[in-house]
Amino acid sequence: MKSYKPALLWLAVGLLVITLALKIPVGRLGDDPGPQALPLASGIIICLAALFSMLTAPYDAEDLGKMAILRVCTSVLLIGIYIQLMDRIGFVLSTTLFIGLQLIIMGQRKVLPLISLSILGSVTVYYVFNSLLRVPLATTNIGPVGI
Amino acid sequence: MNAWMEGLSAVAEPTVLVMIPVGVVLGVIIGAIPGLSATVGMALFLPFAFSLDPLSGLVLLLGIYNGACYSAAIPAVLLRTPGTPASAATVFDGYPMTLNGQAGRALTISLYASVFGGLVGAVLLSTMSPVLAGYARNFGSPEYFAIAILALTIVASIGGDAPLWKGVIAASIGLLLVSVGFDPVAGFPRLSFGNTQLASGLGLIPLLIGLFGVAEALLQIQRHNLKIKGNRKLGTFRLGKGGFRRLAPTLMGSTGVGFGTGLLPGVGGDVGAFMAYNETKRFAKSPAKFGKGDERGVAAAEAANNASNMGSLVSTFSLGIPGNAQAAVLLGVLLIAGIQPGPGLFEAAPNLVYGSFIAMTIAFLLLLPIGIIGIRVWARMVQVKPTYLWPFVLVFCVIGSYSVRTNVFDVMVTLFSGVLGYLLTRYGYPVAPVLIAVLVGPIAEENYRRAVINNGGEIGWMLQPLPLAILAIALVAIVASLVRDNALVKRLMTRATRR
Repeated sequence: MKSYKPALLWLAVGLLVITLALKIPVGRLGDDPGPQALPLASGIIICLAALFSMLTAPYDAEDLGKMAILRVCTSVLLIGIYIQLMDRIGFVLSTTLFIGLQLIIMGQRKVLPLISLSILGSVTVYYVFNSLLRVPLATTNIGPVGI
Repeated sequence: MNAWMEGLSAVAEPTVLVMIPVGVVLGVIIGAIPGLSATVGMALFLPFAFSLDPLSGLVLLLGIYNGACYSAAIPAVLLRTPGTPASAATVFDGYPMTLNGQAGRALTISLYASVFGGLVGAVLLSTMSPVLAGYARNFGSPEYFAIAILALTIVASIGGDAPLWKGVIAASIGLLLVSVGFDPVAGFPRLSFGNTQLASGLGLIPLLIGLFGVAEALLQIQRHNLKIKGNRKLGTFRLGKGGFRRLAPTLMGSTGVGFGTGLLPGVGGDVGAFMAYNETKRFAKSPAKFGKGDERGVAAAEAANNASNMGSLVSTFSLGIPGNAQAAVLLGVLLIAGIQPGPGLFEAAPNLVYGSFIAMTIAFLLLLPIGIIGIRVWARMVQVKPTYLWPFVLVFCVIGSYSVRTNVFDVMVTLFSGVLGYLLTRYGYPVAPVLIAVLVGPIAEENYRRAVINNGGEIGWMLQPLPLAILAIALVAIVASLVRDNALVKRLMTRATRR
C-alpha cells in the first residue's frame, strides 16, 4: 500500500529543524556564517529530500505484525528501565533482571535456563569486564548485593 | 625508513603483539555469527580498546575488522545469510557450492582469497597512504571542505541499494545529530534546550554503539522467529590440484578492483565485491557456471571485499576522513584518545601509523593459520541461538556506552540512536551515512566557516582548481546515483510526458 506518510513526517521534521535553527544566532566573528549554518542546512536538505520522495517514490508499507512491534517496543522500554535501574541497584542485579525479562520477550519459557543464564550471565559479564578488562561498571552503596 | 623502524619497535611491544591475534580471533568469531558484523563487533569492544594504549587499541579493532570481514563469508556460504552486505556477493556461488557438497572447499577458498586480498591491500595501503598524506599537507580549509562534501555525497548516493533521497536524509540526520552541542568555531551551544548534558554534545561512541549494536539487536528481536538451519556437511577442505594457481588471475584482478573502489570514501566493500564478481564473470571463459557453484565467484567476491576494506583506510589515515563505517569507528578511537587523525599524524605519531600498517600485515598473515586450524569451530558459530545471543549483545552495548564517561546520559543516547538506527533500517534507510556524517560533518562545517572567514565572507574559494575538481566528482556521484535509480528517472519522465 502506497503511503506519503513517511515523506510528510520528514517534511515536518525538516521544518521543525529549520525553525529551531533560525533561533540560533547568526555569526558574530567577522564574516562567519555562524552556528546556525549546519542545522539550517540539514533541515533544508531533509525538506528537499522529503519533497523529492513525495514526487517520485511513495512508500510501500510492509505489515510487520503486532507481535513483532510489541516485542520491539517492550524491549526498548525494558532497556530504558534497565538503564535507570543500573545506577540505583547496581550492575549485577539490574542485568540479571534485564537478561531474564529479555529472554522471556525472546520466547524462552523454560525456567531453569532462564534463571541460570540470567544469574550466571550477569555475574560472568561483571567479572570479565570489571575485574579482568578493568571496564568501569555501575555500582551502588548497597554493599555486595549492589555490585 | 626511520618511521618504519619506529612502527616496528612499537609493534614489538608485548601488549600490541598479544592484541593482534586476540583481535583476529574475536573478529572471526563475531563475523561468523549471523547478525553480528565487524562494525557491531568493533563498537562492542571499544570500551576495552580505550583501556589500552592507542596503538594496542587500534590494533585490537583492526584485528576484529579484518577477522570479521573474512568470517562474514561463513554464514554466507553455509546459510545463504551474508554476515555483512560486503559478503552478499559471496552467496551467489558460495551457497550453491554448499548445496553441491563443497562447503568446506568454499570456506577454504574464501579464506585464501580474504588473506590474499587483505595482504595485497595492506601493502598498497602502506605505500599509498604516506604519499597521499604528503600531498595532503598542502591542503587548506577549501580542500578539506570539498573532500568532506565528497565523502558525504558518495556515502549518501553510491553506497548501498537505497535510493538517493534516503541516503541524503540519513546523512542529514547525521549532520543534525552532530549539530547538538557547542559549535566548533564560536563555541555557541546549539539545540541543547538549556540542558547542560546536551550542551556537551551527543558522544560519538554512544551514538555509534546505538546505531549499529542496539539497532541490530532490535532488528533481530523483531525477526526472532529466524530458525537456524540444520548442520551442513562440510566435505573436504582441500582446494584440489593446482587450486591456487587456477584462482590466481581472479584473485589479482579482483584485489585491484576491490582496492580501487575502496579508495573512494563512503563506498563500502559490497560495491567492490559486486563489481569484482561481475567483471570476473564477464571475462570468464565459461560465465554460465557462475551462480551455480563456481569457485571463481567466491574468490572474486572475497578478495575484492577484503582489499576494498584496506582501500577504505587510505583516506582514513591520510586525510582523517573515514572511508566506511568501520573506519569511522577507528577514527573514533583516535579522537577519544586525543589524537587528531589526518596527514599530520604521519609526522606527529609515526609509531601509531606505521605500527598499524605492520600490525595489519601480521594480522592477515595470522588469519591464514587461524582460519585453517579453527575452520570447523568457526563454522559452528553460525549455530548460536539468537534467543540467547541478543540479550547479551544489548548488555554489552550498555556497558560500552556507560564506560566512556560512567554517565547514564550516554547510555540513554545509545538507546535513542539505537531506536533511530532500527527505524531507519526497518524502513530501508542506510545507516552508514548517518555515522559518516557525524564524523565528517564537523570537518565540513569547520573548514567551510574558516574558508569563508579567511576570504572576507566570499565563497569564490570553491572555484579554486582542486576544490572545484573534488566538488565536481561529488556532483558526478549524485548524478550517477540518480541514473542508477532508474525507476525514479522513469517515473519522473512518465509524469513529465503526461503533462
